[in-house]
Amino acid sequence: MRELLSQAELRSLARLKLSLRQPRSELVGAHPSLRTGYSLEFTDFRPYQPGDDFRLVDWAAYARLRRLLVRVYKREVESPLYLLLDVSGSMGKGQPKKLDFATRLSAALGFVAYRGQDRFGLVAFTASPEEKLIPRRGRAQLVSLFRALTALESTGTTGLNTALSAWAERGWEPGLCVVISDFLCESGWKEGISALLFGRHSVILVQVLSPQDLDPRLRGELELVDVELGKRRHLAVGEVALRAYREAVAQWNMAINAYASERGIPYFLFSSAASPVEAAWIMLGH
Amino acid sequence: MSFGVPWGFLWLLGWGVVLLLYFLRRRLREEEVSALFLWERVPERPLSFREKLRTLWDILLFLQLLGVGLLAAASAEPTIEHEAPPEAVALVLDASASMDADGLPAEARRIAAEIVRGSTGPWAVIAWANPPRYLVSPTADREEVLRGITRYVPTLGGRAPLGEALEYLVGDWERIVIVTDSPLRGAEGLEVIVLPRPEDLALTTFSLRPQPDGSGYEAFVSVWNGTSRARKVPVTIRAGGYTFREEVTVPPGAERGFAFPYFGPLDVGFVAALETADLFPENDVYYFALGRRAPARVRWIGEEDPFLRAAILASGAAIVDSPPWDLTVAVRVDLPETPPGALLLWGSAVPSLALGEAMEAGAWAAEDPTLARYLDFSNWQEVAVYRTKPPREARVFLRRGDLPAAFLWETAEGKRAAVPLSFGAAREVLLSPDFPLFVHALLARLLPAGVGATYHVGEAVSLPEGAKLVVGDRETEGPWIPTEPGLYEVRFPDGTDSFIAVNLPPKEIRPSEPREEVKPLMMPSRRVGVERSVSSFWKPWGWAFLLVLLLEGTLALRRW
Repeated sequence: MRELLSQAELRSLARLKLSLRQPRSELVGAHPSLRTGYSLEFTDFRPYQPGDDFRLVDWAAYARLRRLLVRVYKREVESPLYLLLDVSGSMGKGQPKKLDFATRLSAALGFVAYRGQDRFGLVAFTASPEEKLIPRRGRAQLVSLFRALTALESTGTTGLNTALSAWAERGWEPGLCVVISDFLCESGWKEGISALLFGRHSVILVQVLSPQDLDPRLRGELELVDVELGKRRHLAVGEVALRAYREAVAQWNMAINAYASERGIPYFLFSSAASPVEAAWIMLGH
Repeated sequence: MSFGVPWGFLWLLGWGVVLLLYFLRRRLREEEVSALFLWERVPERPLSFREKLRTLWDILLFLQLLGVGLLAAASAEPTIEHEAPPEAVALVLDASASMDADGLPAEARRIAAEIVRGSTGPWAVIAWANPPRYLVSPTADREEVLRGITRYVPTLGGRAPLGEALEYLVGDWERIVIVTDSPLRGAEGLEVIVLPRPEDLALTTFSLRPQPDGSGYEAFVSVWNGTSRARKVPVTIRAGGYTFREEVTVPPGAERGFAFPYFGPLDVGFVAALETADLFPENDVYYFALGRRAPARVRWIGEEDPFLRAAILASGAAIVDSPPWDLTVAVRVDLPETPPGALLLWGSAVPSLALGEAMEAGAWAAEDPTLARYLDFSNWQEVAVYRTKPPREARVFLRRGDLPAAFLWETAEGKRAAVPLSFGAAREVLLSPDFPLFVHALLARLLPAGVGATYHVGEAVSLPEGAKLVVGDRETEGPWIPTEPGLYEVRFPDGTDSFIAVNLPPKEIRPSEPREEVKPLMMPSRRVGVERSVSSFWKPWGWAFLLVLLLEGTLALRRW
C-alpha cells in the first residue's frame, strides 16, 4: 500500500476539525445543533411547561422571581462524513492524475473525521455508486479507508446525476457529503446534487481538474479522443482554439459555482498539482 | 576551415529521412482529452500560417536534425587553421659528462619535452657538448622535436664555451632555455634550469711520482667529498697484478690529497678507484700512465763534480758525449756563448747572465712547494750564492736573503735554469739526501716530458710518428681524440709499448662548482612573426552528437 499521507501531513491535519452549519443527525455527537437538547452548554431559560424535566428547573431563579423557569441547553449531534469519489476514466487523466489528488484529499478528510470521533464512509462512483465503506468511526475504519483509496482505479464513464441520485435514494442518515469529481460530465450534475440536498445532507463540492484540463499545451492538427466515451474529433488547434477551449472550461466551472452559491453549498476548485493537505486546510480551516 | 573527408557531409541526407519520419508520425497524432464535449464548443477554424509554423516546431525534431548535422560534420573531419604569434624556443641541453649521473638525462629529457609541449614553436635543440651539435635543427614539427629529445644522451667529455653552443642558433629566438646540472655564471638573460645533482664522491687527481729521495715511487690521489657528511672511503690502486688498498677520510664539501708508497711495476697503466657506490660512478675512477720515457741524454761542460754527476745519474739521465743531447749541464764555467737546447748553468755564466760576488748571508727560502717540503736548509749555511740578475721572465724558486739561488726561464732556444751556488766546503749538503733531491727537481723541470702523459676526453693526442694506438680491436695512427675514459696502449715502431691514460675533464669531475660562462657577443632577439598551425576538432563534434542523442532519448522517454 503506497503512502497516501506523510507523517508531517498527518500532524498538520490533526489540527483541523469538521464543522457543519446545520447538522441534521438525530444521534448524539460532538457537533452543536441548532436545536436544543441535552448537553453541558447552557443556552437560555424558558418558562416551565408541564412535562418538563424537574431536574432542569432553576430553583435559584424561582426563589428570586417566584416563577418556575427551566434551563435550556444546546443539542450536540453526530455528523457522519460521506466521501463521494468520482473514479471515472477522466479522473485518471492529467499530470499529476486527478484521481491521485482526489484519493489523497479523501484520505486527509477521513483522517480529520477520525480525529474528531466522527463516522466516515467511502462511496466510489462512475455512472452508479459503489459503497466501498459504510460509515464507521475508529482507527480500523481509517486503515480500511486508506486501503480502499489505494485500491481505486479510474475507469468507466461519469454519470453524476444517476450515481448521486441513486446513492441519495438509499436513505443514509443525514451527514456531510463531500463530492470529489472533475464534474466533466456532459449529462449534467445538478439533479444529483439536488438529490443529496433532498436527503438532508450537507454538501461540499470539490472539483478537481488537471493543469492539462485547465490550460492544455496542444498544438497542430490533432485527433482528439474522449477518454471515457471514445468519441473523436479532428481539430486544428491553434491559439484561437485554445482560447475558445479555456473559455468553455471557465463557463462550465462558473455554472457549477453559481449553482452552489444559490444553494449555499461550499464549492472548491483545485488543480491536481495542488497539495491535498493544503486543500483540506482551505476547505476546513478557519 | 577545411575538411579532411568532405564526403562525410553525405550524412546530411539523413535530414530528409528524419523530416519524412517526422511528418508521417504527425499525421497519426492522437491526443486523449478528459472532456471532448468542451472541445466541441471550439469552432472549426483553419490554422494561420504563423500557427502552422509553430506547430511544426518540435524539440525532438530539432535535436534529431542537430544530431545528424553533427554526425555529418564529425565525419567530414573538419580542421581549422589558426594564426598565432609563435614562441620560438631554443633548448640547450648540457651534454657534458657530469650530466651522465643516474637520473639526470631522463630529467633533462622530461623538462625539454614539457617545454616543447607547452610552446607553439618553432624549436631547436642543441646538445651542449664539446663540440656542440644539433639534436634537432630548427623546425616547427613538434613530433620531430620530441623524437629528437629522446635521442639526447650525455657524452663523457666536457662542453664547449656557452657562446659556441649559442652560435648554432641562427635567427631569432624568443626563449633560450639551458638545461644543465651546474650553476652558470655570466648567463644573465638566458633561462637556466639547473638540475639538482645527487650526492657524490669523486677522485679528482691520481698520479704516480718519484719519491723525492729517489728511493721509489709514491701514488698521489685527491678525493673530493660532495656529500653532506664526512666519509671514510676505501681507495684502491691497481697496476697489472698489483693492488693497493687504503682508506681515506674526507670532510664534507672538502677535497683532500693523500700520498701512498708504491712498490708495484712501472711499465703498466694505473687505475685508482673509489670503492663506493653513488649515482655518478664515472668520477670514481681515475687513470694514470707513466708513458714511455727514454733516458735523457745529458752533455757535460766544465769542471768535474762527482756529487752532481751522481745526482744526475740517479735521476735516470745518461751523460753522453755525442749528440743529440736533451740537456747541457755547464758546471762552474764561463761560456762565451749560450749553447742551444735546454741548459743548466751550475755556478756558470753566459753572456746574458753574469755572476757577481758570492754571498753567504740571509735565510734560505724555497718558493717551490716541492723543495720547501723536502729540503732541510739547516745544513746550507755554508753554501754561497753569487749575485746575479735573472731575466725578467725568470721564475725564482729558491732564494737566500734577497739573492736568487735558483731560477728558471724559457727562451726560443729552450729551457734555461741557473743555479748560481758555490758549495765550497759545504760537504754536509753534498752528502745529505737534500742534494740529489734538489738536482732531481731541477731536471724534472728541464727535461722534456715523455709520451704517455694523462689526457682528458675530447683532448687531441698527437702520437709520435710510427706509433699506433690500440682502441678496442683496431689500431689508429696520427692525431686521435679520445671519447671515453680508460687506459689505451701505444705501440712504437721499435717494438716497445706504453700506455695513455684518459680521464674525464676536470670540470666534469666536480660539476657542482659554478662555472664561468661567456655570453656570445650577439644575443638572439625576440622573433616577430605569424605561425600557421592546424588543429583537428572533429572528435568533440562526435561527442556532441552522442550528447544530443542522449538528450533526445531522455526527452523521448519522458514523453512516452
